[in-house]
Amino acid sequence: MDNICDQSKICNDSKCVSIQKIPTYINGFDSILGGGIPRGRTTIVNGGPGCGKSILSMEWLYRNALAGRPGIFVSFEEHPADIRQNALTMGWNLAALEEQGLLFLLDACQKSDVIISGQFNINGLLSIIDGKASQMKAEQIVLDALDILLRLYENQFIEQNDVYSIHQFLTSHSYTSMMTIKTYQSASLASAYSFVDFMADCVIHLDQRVLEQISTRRLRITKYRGSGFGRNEYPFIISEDGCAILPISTQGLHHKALGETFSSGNDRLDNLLGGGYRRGSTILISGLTGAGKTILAGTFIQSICAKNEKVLFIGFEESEDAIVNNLLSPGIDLRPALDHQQLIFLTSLPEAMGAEEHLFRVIRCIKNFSPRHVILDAVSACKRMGGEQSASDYVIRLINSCKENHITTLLLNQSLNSNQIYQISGMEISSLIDTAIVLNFQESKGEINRTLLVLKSRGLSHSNQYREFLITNHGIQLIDVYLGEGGVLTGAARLEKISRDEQEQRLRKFKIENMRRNLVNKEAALFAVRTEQQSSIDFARSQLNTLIFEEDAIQTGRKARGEWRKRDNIESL
Amino acid sequence: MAQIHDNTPKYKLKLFIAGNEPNSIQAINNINDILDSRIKDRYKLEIIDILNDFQSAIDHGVLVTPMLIIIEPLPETTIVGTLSNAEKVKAALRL
Repeated sequence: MDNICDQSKICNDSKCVSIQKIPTYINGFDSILGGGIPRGRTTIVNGGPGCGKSILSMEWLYRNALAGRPGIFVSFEEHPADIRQNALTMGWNLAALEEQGLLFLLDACQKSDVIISGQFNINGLLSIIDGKASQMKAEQIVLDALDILLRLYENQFIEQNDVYSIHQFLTSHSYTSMMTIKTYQSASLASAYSFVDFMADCVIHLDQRVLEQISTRRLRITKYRGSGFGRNEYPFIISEDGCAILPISTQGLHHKALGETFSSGNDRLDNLLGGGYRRGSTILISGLTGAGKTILAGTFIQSICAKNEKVLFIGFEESEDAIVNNLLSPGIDLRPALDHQQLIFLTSLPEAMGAEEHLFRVIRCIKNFSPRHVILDAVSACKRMGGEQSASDYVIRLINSCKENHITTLLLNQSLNSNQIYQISGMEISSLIDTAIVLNFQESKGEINRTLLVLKSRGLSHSNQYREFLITNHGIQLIDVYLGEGGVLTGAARLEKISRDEQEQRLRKFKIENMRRNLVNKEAALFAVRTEQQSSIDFARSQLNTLIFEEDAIQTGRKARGEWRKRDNIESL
Repeated sequence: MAQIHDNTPKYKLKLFIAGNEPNSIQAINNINDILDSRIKDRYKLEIIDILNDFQSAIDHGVLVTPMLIIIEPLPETTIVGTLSNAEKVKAALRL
């Protein structure tokens, strides 16, 4: 079961790696190698001139020596004195390691005037390595620029034979070795060394190319017997302290989930966003030039620095002074944040270096400063690092790195025309964006007004409506836009429409009031008529009653008289 | 004896070999033939087996074997191989 796992599964889990590896301790390199280069085997590093073969192999040896594993560097091209001096520029003190017996630089440069007479072989080198390695207990060997030695050979067959005997010797002694070999452009020379790639257990190809006037180094592992590895081409750089490889994504996503919301610096905007920005999210503010992107970012910085959280501002468009000064006019003062070391600027021209070096600088800055928020001004400028590909590499890797560290990233992007705003950035980063805010201009009746729209706010219920975006002396203000039959109106048009509407409303009110009054009058008139008739009815009724009363009185009198008469009759009887 | 050859140049040579492989034996035979036929008794040849003495190999930059270093007369000259081409070796010795 274990064997199946070892052989078939390509993974970075150390449990599944069947062969033993020696780490390189080079930033990012071990992760694409799945732990390091194969122990006890030969690794070939090839590439054209100046692409960093020697430095890469030296760094491997140097870092292992620092970790207590002695190594031998056989240099066929450079003299040890030069190597020591070059290494010092990267802060590597080789001489100290040599004194401790952890490193040995073998000067294997050929004398230029060697006379060749008859057959020879490579045993001299092998016995030196053998003797020195057992003396130092070294297991790591670098053969730098082996092709130089091979120039001695007039016969290609013998040359190949000797390369094999070197390989045989190194593996039979279980040395972990790295050989660097130049690759040549010409087909005949290229094929002369291609056999070396078949022989080795691990082949690393380096190259340096110039794209849009900016040179970038790339690294690719073309072969790794018995191990999985990252198969892509990875950009790498040689920085002040050695090589660094920044894989775009070697091991999948390790993004942390979005955190709680916090204020964007403006209450209205927070409402629009459904609570504010989320921690660890990526926010894109996109808009035309002058739409107020930097001001929106400034508002955010000011509010977040007031809460004592650190912000890194990566600027590619304006200098630190220019940004700070320009933000003073809308009433945003970043100077206190700068004074308290809560805000630092990392500004440079995009053209100044390749995307990898830019990225490396940023990542080192993030490491040292550990900000909670990063502002990038602007995504659009990144194209000047050497084309669309480098720019999206840079941005994607920056976002990934920030997401992994739970840092909020605020990206500013300048769109070229207002139709472009919906394709967010022109790069394939839309899926990485958690919140997108679009700043735009609304043109109407001879004036331009700024609008703001929250295009996306992941995980929050946000407003889908435009707001008018005002820049005042006291920062930004968001105003409800007029939404009616006429569509979205801003600025004077909004005001005009509002006043017209008010007038119309007053008119309507007046009409209603008028009608109501009319009705009341009518009711009153009706009442009056009714009253009159009622009174005539009443009058008639009272007359009737009078008549009835009179009639009664008459009848009563007649009855009484009759009775009186009857009594008379009795008395007379 | 020494006084006789005072004015003639002395030859000081070092031959580096790796054990008793065929190349080593050929080189030793070839150099002895050349020296003995032309400058007998005027040379000092030191044969170094680098399998026993790798430090000398480091000191002299011996990467391939056999390797002959002509230390004197100056300038120092290096010849690699079995020394099978006697003409080249003689030319290097300026004979």
